[in-house]
Amino acid sequence: MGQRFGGCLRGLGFRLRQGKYQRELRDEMREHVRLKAQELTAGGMPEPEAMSAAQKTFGNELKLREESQDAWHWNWLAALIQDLRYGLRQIRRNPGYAAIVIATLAIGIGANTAIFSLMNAVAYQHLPVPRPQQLVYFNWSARHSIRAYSNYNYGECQSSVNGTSGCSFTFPFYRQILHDTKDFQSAFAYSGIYPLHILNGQNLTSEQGRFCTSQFLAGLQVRPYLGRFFDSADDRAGATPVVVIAYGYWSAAFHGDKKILGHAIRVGSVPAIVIGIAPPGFHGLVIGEREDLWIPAADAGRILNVPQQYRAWMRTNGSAWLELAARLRPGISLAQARTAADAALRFQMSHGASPIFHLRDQPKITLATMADGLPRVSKILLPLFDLLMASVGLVLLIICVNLSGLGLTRAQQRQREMAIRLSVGASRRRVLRQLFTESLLLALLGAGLGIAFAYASSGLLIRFLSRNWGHQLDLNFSLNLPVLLFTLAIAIFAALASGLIPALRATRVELYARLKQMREDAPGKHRSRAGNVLIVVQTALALVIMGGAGLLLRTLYKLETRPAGFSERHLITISASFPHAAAGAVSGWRRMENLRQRIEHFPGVKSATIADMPLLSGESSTQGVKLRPGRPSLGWADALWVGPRFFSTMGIPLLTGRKFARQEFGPMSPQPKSTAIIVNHAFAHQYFPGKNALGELVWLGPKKPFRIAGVVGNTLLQSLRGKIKPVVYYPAYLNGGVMLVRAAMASAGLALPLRRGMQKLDPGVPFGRPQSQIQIIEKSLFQQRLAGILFSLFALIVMALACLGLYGLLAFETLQQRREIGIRMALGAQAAQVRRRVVARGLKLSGVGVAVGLALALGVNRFLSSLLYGVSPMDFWALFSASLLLIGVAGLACWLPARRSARIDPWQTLHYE
Amino acid sequence: MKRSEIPYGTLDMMVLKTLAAGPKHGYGIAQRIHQVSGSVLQVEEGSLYPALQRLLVKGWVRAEWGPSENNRRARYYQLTAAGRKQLEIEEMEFEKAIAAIRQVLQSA
Repeated sequence: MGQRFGGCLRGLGFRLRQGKYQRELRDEMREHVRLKAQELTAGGMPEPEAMSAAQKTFGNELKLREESQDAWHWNWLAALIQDLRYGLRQIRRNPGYAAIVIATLAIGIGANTAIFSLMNAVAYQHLPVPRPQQLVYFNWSARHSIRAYSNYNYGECQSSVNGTSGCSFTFPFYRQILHDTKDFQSAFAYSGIYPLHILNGQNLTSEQGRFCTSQFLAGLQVRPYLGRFFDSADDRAGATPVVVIAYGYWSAAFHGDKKILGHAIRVGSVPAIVIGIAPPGFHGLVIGEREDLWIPAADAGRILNVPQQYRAWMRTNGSAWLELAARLRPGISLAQARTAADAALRFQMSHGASPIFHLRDQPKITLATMADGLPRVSKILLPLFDLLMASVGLVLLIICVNLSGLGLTRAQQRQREMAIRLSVGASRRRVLRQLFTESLLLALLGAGLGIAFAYASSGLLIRFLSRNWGHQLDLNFSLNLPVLLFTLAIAIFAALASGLIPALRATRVELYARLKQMREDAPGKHRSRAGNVLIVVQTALALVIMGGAGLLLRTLYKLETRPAGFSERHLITISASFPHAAAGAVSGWRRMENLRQRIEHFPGVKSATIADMPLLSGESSTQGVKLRPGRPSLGWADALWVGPRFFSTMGIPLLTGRKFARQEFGPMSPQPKSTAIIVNHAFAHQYFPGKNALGELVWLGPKKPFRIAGVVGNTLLQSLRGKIKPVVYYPAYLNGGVMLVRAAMASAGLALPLRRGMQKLDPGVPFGRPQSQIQIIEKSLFQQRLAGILFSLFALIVMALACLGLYGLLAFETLQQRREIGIRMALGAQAAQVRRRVVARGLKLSGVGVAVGLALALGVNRFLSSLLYGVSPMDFWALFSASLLLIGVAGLACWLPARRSARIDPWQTLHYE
Repeated sequence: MKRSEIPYGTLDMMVLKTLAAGPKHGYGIAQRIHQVSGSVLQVEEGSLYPALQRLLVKGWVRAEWGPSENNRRARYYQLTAAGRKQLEIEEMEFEKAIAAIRQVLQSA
């Protein structure tokens, strides 16, 4: 073995220095001829004659040289070229077959490349900053949520919904980390991404902004492209608001005009001076998202219109609204840094004025690497992409199996060619290699076309994802090295998987029999057995995907028809955000209320109400519930701040008690005008089981208790997938929120005129785009819908492929057996009997395939369970209907060959033989 | 003069054996085999040079340039340690095969 390897190496050495060795070989041979001539001259021959005689005995020097060079293993390349030429000739000779193979492989490989390229774009990227491995972000986990009055969850870390882990901290805790810990080069804090209204001259647009402490960009070690980044003076209460904008946003919105530096743009209602432009390539902290601007955290309160009463919380332990990250010093391990962070937390708990955790909460800080950015996009898309990757892999497998079947038929046709090649002395290995080169050539052509297909289809997929994401995702199909290698690898795999069995079959050495029976129609028993297996495998794999599609579609149906507890139809939502009112002016919530009353008189509007956020959009805010002051929370409740006529507009029934009275409504504040709350039935049931909850006191905030004035029906607030949770409704709202408008009839035509009307009533307020409640629900279900649509598409493809394979096999067999069928019919078999025989054979095969597929599906479908709702992974109806459909279509695929077989004219067939 | 073909598969062995006596160039090898075999065996150039390349690639011989008899450049081949071992193996197997063939011939 070692010697053989050494030989290969030496051969390679000769090949690499080919020119030199060829020259040497030539010189050597010429000297040989001369020596020979000399001997002949010595023997008495005249010199010129001796030379030519020596030349003659030596033979053709050029040919000899070529033969000698064969020892350098040159032949494999020559053979490859020969094989490639031969393959191309095969394609030209049979373009129809080649076109089918290339096109199917293009779809199979292209789908795989598309999904892999998106996965690659989401998952295996580093933040484009220097030494991203040094970056970590902070997470907490504890028995009780962080002890702040408000606790933000931006969905940027792997936090749990029940409030026992998260990555939001308070501003004082950030200061503590910054000052106490020596293991970090820098620490910085930031909010989640907010869509912000930007007014630049006359242009009002919505852009993605992030609030951050002054060390944010410096800590990431990003260098300004132009201007400067923040310094600590910018992140102080009372400082002039400033903003750094992203390169992409700068080029798109300001056409790369450098004069924008030092000028103000309006962010929300606050003028902020553009001080710097981030370098191209830096898109923020989330791979797959694009951040357009960064603003000092000190300005967040004003820009986000947080009521004055709450603003102080943003700089105290009242609000956990900042996420925290740091850059480790070189040589400091994650564990060391974690210990330091834990010490800072412990210090804060024992010495801080208002600890963010109690000791009994058993809080823990963990540090997660931020090298790949924050998992905001990847944690949602990756599970989906994993699933898609698995299913497109299956599709490719089925395609290969199918092509393998097609190749078997072709192998039969090429038997004669193979037999001749083998009989004139080609080794089986050599012929196998040539057949594989042919498969590989087809697969590579398919892969080339597949890359174009991947480009187009991933574009569509990104557009679909982005539409449901709310804004354009920063994902692109890019043909980089990993994607190319992946495509190449699966092309080679496809060539092997689709070409191996036919090639082995075609080159099976039974030369004598082969040559003898060349003109007869071979019974082809072996071929049939291989063909049967391929059909069963295809059918089984098709059933797995079809069953999966059935499960996902049933989930979608269950979710879409799940009662949300309110009426979703004819409901329009328009978000509004009022600039913070100057002293003495009419406050935002009052303006919102005026607007609401005027809207109710619009033609086509039944009623209108206000809530602090749209329902079923995936957002929620949660509060701890206490039944006695000073005690730990008993549990949690979702909170919704609502305006007048909320329950009647939404169609939520009042079970007991009363609704809010008009005079109870007021601005949202820790000390509201009214202490009346309304709770849902689940709340009453959980906290006052077996009792009448009416009139009971509940402690929800830091101060006074609230009194339950009414109990309403249960609703789903956050998402259709969630459980029914306890809900508290307050008669108050912010300087803005969502206007919920119930139209008298179908609302599609009403939405835009409504928004225009609102704009006319209160110009200067940035209203959001109107959305119907149905649209919001659909958006929240996009993961299910995408999976459902794609799986159904794959299911259709693989079902068609499986049936095509079955059809091909039966048609081929019928053709082969026409003599036998002819004899049967001549002996009196009825057409119906002949047909039945073919159909029965096809159905038997697909029946076995379905059975195998069901067994597979039972094993595999649990991987779908994270995408399922209300449907078991082994749901009877989904699997049953998929089986039925598959067998039905397979029956159709059998029918055509069956009909053809029954049409065989026995006399003609026998005569032909 | 009647010449015999060199039995298939034995050329490499004979080249190695010839080189065991000392380095030679291609022409020298052919000459030597011709002489030693009593002018019975004639090495075809058409098979000698591919064989030499094969032996070079396998590492059984080494080649060096040196002056030829008529004072030009010629390539001299020399046995390597691996070549010497290979020669032993081939001689042994050849002996075995010849003995076996002889037995078959005598029994008939």
